[in-house]
Amino acid sequence: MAGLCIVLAIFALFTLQNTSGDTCIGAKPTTEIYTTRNILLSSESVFIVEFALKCDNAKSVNLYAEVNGKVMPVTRSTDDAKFQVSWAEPHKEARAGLYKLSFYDDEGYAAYRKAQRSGTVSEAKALFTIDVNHPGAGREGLYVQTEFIAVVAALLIWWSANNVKSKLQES
Amino acid sequence: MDPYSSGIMFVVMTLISTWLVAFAYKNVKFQLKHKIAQRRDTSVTKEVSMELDSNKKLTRQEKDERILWKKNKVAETEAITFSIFYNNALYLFLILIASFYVLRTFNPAANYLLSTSLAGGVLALLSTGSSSS
Repeated sequence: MAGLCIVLAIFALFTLQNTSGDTCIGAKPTTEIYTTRNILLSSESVFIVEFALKCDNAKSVNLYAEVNGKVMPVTRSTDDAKFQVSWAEPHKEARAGLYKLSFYDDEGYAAYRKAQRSGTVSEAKALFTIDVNHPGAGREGLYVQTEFIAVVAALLIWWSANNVKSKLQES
Repeated sequence: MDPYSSGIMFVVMTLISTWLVAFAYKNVKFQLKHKIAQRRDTSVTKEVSMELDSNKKLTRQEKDERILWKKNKVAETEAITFSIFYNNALYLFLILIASFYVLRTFNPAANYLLSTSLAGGVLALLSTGSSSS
């Protein structure tokens, strides 16, 4: 029993050390953002935020992103250089405007959950935030479909050919 | 619609529509050739006569033969050229209508099969149908 206790204690210590080490001080993200612009080419509006994180202390962190009350884990490239978070929404729900992404590390995420439970989400302090400007997905380019133009052009050519043909045959 | 996996379908449909379109070319050409020959009659006769006027050795019959041959050649060329243009325009229109509008909801393979065969079939049918008029 005592042995198990010692093992647990060591384990707890280890995890504690691990989590306390995973913070990023003075986080500066450099972002690349993509949001869907064309309604015809995609069935849903997609948001992709990719960023490189610069910390004052060079530590690798686990990040969580929160947007409009939805929390998502942030994926990390194998060399820890890039982070990426993405989500998709139906075109109608993905209104145009500014989306504020809040990022939390493990500790911050726990604090956020706690604040969420107690109903004081606004008090949760994010590690850093990224603003995503979504101009809204719409029709790009011509209002008429290309195939419609092709059909009309083909119809006109055939119509003129048919005119010539009937003129030839009537005499 | 991967070009390699559906290659056989492409080849088969290309051959079928080639045959159908060629059939339509031939039919429309036959319809038009006679009419064109009639229309070009006077001008061809004039032209050939002017060319042959200097040549006194030719008999009347030989001159007529030359005129007829020339008339045939002119009508043949004009009819086949116009037939190709006319049928190509119609085929393009039919295949666009079929693939983009009539069979819009079909999956790509069925859409391709049906639109090519439909366009070729209708083209061949129209070329035979109006020959009686």
